[in-house]
Amino acid sequence: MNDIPEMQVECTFGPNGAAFTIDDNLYPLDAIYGAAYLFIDRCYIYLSRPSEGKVEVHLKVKPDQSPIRNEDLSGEFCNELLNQTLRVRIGESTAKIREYYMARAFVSHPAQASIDALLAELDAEELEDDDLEISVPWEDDDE
Amino acid sequence: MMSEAILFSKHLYREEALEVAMEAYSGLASFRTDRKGDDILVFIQTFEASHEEQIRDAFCTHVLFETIVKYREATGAKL
Repeated sequence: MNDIPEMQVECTFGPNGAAFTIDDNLYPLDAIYGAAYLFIDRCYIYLSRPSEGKVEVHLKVKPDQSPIRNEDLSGEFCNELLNQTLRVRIGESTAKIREYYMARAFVSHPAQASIDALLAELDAEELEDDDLEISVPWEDDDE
Repeated sequence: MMSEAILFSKHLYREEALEVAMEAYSGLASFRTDRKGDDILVFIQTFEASHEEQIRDAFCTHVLFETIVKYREATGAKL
């Protein structure tokens, strides 16, 4: 257990909230924004840049929110940061295939043809006889 | 009462977001800006000293919110 790497998020806690220093090579700015956005209704948030490649996040719970321990708040933020980072990485790695599917959907199948096919299918369903042969009052009048 | 300056890093905040936030808080405080390299220093003078800390915190959060909105608009996503 001696080879555990050093933690990449350094936290400091005080009476006015929590602060983290994050390496923006590990956590992209998009992910930091994503996590901050989710906390913006609960906390006051301020970002600073203490040095190149570092982002410091300052969190302070708003007075109208239920109190939470700074350690818990910072833990929640770090988890969300990881979640957002994963979302960004998956988004980047699947961008090409998503573009390919979209392009194929628009180019290979003209939209009007798809709509016509759906309408024809609906018409066919309406014209089919009722398998259960449930009598309908207006059909009795015709017979 | 003039509080200490708040530094908004150009790397993290958008200048137009700062302008929108200053406009939004113009009824609560007056603002003066200065440059520090690429970054922007904002001096806030709140009209009511008793709410100074809360207004500062809320202002910083508002600038971040506007920055995120503008960042996402620029990258094609909508909130």
